[in-house]
Amino acid sequence: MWKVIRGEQMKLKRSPVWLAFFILPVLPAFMGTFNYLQNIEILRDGWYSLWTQHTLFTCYFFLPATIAVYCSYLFRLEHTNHNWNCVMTLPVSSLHLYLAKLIMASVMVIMTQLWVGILFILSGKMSGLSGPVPPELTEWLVYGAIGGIVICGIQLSLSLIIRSFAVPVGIAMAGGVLGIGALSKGVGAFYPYTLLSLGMRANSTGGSMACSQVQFMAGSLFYLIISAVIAILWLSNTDVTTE
Amino acid sequence: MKGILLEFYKIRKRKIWVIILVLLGVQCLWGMWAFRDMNAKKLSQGYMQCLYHFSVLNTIMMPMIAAITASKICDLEHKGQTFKLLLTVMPAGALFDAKFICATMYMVAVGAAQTIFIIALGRTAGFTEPFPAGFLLYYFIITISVTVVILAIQQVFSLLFANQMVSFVIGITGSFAGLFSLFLPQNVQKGVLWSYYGVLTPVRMNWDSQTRIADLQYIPVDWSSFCLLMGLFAVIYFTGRRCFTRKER
Amino acid sequence: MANIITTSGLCKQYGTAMGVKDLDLSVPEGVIYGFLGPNGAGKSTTMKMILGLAKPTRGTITVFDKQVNRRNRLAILKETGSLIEAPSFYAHLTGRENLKIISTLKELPDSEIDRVLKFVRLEDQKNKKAGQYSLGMKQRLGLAGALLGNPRLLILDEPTNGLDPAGIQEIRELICSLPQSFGITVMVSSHLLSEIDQMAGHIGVISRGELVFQDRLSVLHDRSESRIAIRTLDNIAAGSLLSSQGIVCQEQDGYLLIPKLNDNQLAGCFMRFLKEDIGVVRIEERKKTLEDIFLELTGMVVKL
Repeated sequence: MWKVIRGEQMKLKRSPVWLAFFILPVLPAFMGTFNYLQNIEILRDGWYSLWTQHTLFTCYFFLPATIAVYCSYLFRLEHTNHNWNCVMTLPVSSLHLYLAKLIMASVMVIMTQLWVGILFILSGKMSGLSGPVPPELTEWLVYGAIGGIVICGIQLSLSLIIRSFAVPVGIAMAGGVLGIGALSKGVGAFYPYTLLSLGMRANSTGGSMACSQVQFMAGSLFYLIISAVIAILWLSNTDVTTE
Repeated sequence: MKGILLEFYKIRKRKIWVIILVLLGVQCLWGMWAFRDMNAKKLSQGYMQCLYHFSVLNTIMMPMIAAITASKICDLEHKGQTFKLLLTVMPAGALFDAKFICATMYMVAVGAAQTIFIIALGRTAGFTEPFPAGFLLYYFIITISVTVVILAIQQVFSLLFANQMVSFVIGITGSFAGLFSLFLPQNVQKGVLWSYYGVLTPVRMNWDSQTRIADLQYIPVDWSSFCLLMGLFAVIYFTGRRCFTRKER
Repeated sequence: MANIITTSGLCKQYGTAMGVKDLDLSVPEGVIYGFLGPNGAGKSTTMKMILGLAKPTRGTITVFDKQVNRRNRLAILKETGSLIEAPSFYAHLTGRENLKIISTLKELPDSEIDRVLKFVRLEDQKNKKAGQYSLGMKQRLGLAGALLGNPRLLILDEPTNGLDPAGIQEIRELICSLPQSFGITVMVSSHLLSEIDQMAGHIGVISRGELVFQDRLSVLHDRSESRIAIRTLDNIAAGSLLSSQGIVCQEQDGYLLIPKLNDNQLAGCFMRFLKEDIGVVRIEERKKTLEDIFLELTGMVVKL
């Protein structure tokens, strides 16, 4: 398994794809903080208000879309230049291949979450927020990472099956938007694209999640397993075609 | 002309319209969601509400639709490594133009579909506001105009970089910045291309922070911003076209 | 000699068309097996099925005495190297980095990379991005990847594609050396008989998805009998003279074709021609080339 991850790491060499995840959270950090300072008389919850400003739009559409772009990229490597012929004739099982890709994407999500956390603390301090950093921050980030990994799982399966770069990104975008509906109906935990914003508490300032932790975990696990099973069945049952 | 037909021929099996239609459908669903229970006051401002909401939704969705369309029509050349072949039979500039016009037609179709959707919604929901034909036409024009400028950026990056991640990250970041700047002052908005759906929208919301009541009203068309946008388009289009024609292969 | 690959009743259906039909291949261990057929005959499809890249519609494949299925897939692939259709590569990585990925996944030491790079003569270009390689260099890179770790079985699909004549010769010699030097069994496909003729000991000929010949190459060579072609100033007279001697002859393009006679018989004939004042202008020995036999086997003669 370790060798497969090493292989995936090598494939990503010399392509500064992580830059996307570096830039993306900076934008809400700047603009969200600015907006917070503009409306400081309405947004009275200090750190919690700032958190919503930082994460609301990020979690709904833009992080899912960026994850989708990254997953599309991971499989585009194989879809181009006849690489499936090589990948599928190496002694690597389909499960390991999928897991290695999932781990690569997950590492990126976790790093992004860390970066979001750092930016949040920095911008809070710089806008002179009094009071300590909310202790729940770690929990938000961890749950957010779990939600993000679920999206990785689904997007990887989509990008494996749909050979286009763009279409899975469109699906993630549509999925994110439909998630707003799912959230307002209170079924966020049963819908994959909302687990990220649920976990990050993007819409409920400082409150608990809009679902129980068990629901959240069960939902996450369910979608992760489903997408892995679909990907592995696809890999082992369809003929390899190259363009 | 032959070049444009050729572009349509190349994408005939790619089913681009499916994903565009899905995203458009999601956007319309979202629009309908916002209008699920309308009171008399909202009905009397029905079209204004629609135009206002759709310009926000457009800020989120249209850059994505433009990015996907541009990527789909450009990526097939990267995948098939057909640039070398194509550029021996047609000049690079002509290829660039053909692709752009082809994608623009999709964008026009999306704009038209949105406008028709708003009209249909108005009829079925029973908007009491008098039918604002002029503003709807204007909405149709600005939606297409802004999208086409974004499309130009997307196409430039999709063509110049074989790695489609570049163009998508630019698209997503732009759309993100556009959405955020809708909440920022007007002069900030005017500096972000992706927020021009909001800048040019003919409806303004007056938010009364005392009464916490939002009221909508039509505002005169901001032609100066529109001209600025067109100027920006010319700069983007011709710089991009130049880069593409000069690129060595 | 044990077979390293056996297929029986192998079929692959694409839509309603049979891409491969009832194929019974047997590739003995330690040989170079030439897999021959015109473009689109089903060579790549067969090789993909052997490697598990495509699933057979019917029939079984056995490699290393293990049936090719999902359970044995990894065990078989561990001892197999392959190059199918076109070389695979990650364009943004250098040639060496591309090989490094494969060797990591095959758990081989770095020395292997340098060995195969040298073997395919790519060591000068190893730090160049694979995307900038010429077609021939990409082919060499693909070959290097297949050779990593000296697999027991090597499956190569038209490995000389895109190479220049010198390169073709070089790669051929390289392939020819594999069985003796490393004990590798090579299955190599081509649409050129002349190419297979220079490499393979055994061949299988496939046409429209069906196997039309499979044996040692020498058996095919025996099929190519010689004939004598004579051109005279009066072929009609010469023909009747030969017939009267009991020699079957037929006229073709101004030549009289007769079976191969021994030297005395032939000399006798010419003496008679001289006596009858028939001027002999050409005498040639004509051999049916392997190419002709190949075309006959694959039924391509009619088309030409």
